[in-house]
Amino acid sequence: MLEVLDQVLLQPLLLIYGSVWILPQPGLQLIAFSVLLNLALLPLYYQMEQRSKAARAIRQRVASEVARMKRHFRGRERYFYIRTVYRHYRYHPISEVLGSADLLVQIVVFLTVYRFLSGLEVLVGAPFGPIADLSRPDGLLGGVNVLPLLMTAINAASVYYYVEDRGKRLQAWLLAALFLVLLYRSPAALTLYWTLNNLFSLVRNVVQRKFAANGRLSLLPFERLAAQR
Amino acid sequence: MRRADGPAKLWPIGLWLLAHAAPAAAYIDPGTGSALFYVVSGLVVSIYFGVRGLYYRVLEAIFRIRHKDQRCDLAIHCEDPRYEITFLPVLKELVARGVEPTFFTMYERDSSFEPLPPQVTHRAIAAGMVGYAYLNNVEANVLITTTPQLDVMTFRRSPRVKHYSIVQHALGESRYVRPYAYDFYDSVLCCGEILKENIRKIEAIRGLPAKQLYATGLPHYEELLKSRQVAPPPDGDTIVLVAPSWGPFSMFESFGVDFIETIARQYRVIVRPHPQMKVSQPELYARVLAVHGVHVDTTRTPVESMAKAHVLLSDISGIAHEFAFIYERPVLIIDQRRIVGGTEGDLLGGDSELKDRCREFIVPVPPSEINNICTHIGQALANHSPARLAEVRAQLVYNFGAASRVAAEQISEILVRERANASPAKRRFGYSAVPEGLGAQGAP
Repeated sequence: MLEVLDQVLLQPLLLIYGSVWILPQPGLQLIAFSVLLNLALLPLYYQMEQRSKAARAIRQRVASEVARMKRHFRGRERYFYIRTVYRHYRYHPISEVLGSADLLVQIVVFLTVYRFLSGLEVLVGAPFGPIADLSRPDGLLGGVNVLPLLMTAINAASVYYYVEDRGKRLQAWLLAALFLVLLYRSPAALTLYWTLNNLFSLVRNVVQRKFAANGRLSLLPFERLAAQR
Repeated sequence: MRRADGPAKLWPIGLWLLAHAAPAAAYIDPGTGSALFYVVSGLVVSIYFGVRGLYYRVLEAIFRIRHKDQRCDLAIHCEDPRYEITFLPVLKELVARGVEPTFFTMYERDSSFEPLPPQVTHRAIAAGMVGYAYLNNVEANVLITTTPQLDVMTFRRSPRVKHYSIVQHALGESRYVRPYAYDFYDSVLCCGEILKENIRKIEAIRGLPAKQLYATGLPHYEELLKSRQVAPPPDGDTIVLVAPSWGPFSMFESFGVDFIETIARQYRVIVRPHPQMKVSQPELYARVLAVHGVHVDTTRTPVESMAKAHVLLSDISGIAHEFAFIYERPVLIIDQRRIVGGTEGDLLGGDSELKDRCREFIVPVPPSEINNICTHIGQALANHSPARLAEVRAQLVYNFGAASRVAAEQISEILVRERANASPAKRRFGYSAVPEGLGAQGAP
């Protein structure tokens, strides 16, 4: 059963990577793989964003009502009123967390891609431009890893551009900083992939925003989640 | 949230992937990482909320004892003796129609209470949470109460009650009530047009289905009218009844007691301190009792003093409406702006429509004018028009003088309909679908 799942999830990635196999370098293959995978996931992310938009509207109304109850009531009375607010909007923190399609899809996509890329022996020892070995941290600036910094810079810029609420913006920047620490020593192949992913999402958001004047339709997964909460 | 069903089925896949990830899976992309961050914070909030809820659920479970005597046709719930004046005339009218209600009181009824008609079954239940745990398991076709916030605090819907209805014990407008006061009732026996309109506004704001709203009125006004008819009409010197509320917003707390002596220099004065003052503000209560040159009324009900007085000075709306509408005499009310946040008025916005519509005979006086109160009393008496008062009353109060009969008719109709229903109607957010007819207004 598990092997079947393994194959079901990995086969599409193998298919995509197989289509870019003709490119001469593993680095170029990785870039093409990132672009194609994101294009393939575009409809799914669009659906997720539409659902997120509706959920965000409800969440804002819940937050506003809960804040009103907290402002005026204490103790037992406050508890019962907040419970009624949740009931009214058919909302509960736990159901939101467990039922989050965004989270589930992102975990599945991330782990599948990670599993795929980490098993890709072609990347071991493979150079790409100034990067000597895609299976190791890039160390491009006298031992300083540039790709995680670039990825973080794109995130930070996107947050600045898309998230207006100062509190949420700060929260998103703090998360970006946290991930910089966590990902700093990642292999260059992975950070290159994530940097490209984020760049792709940013371009997609800019395009979507241009064509949907009323919508704040799409953020990077990272900013989207930060902005929602 | 609602989309939990589909994605939830995919969780085994996610768990499987997590289980199969290499140790280096600590490398996590920002999107997934931030989502996980919120999973953790969401879990913490949910656990806190769950534990808090568990406490109340356990308490209710402890007291959830089902008895055979919980089963009845029509249940009438009276939370406090002061609401008997609302229920007794309705009970008598129901009995006259052949209905045999069960009267649940959260207090014992001793010989000092007016006897109930023999067709009424009385059940005294405990007060507070224990009583509500009992009431929450009652089996009945219809339950009538004056207690708001059904299904909000500890007063919950019983799955074996088909229809819940609330009747008004005072003239109100759904503005100063606490959150969700009427939301989970199947019907409201409304006192007047303003309440009905405000309930519809709240339904629109919250996106709720329309509940049944009946044009009923205030049954207890009939009992007050009877008292008025037996009381002697006021004559002789002009008598001012001073009957304020208690607590931090009361007139006595704001202005002391000297203003009473000022009034007493020009008029005869009856002072009726609120009974709760004796308990909560004993020093102030003693000062009121010590005022010279006035009559202090501490009897059980204000009926006798109200009958004698030509004009009322107060700071609370309940007695003001009763005095004006029953005795058709003017009222002056000290207009202390109370900022009571968190009520349904937050959603309705604006100011009290009831206050605005009654200002000709329930005259608001700014607190800054307390030293000129005698002038305002004189003006209110001189400008008063009982005919105009009766006209406004007819606009604001449904079925004045006949509300008990109307309420009994409406309850009987609901009862007949619910008896025919096999089980409680399926409700969204606690509401049933709006039936047609029965004099109820469904959709706005």
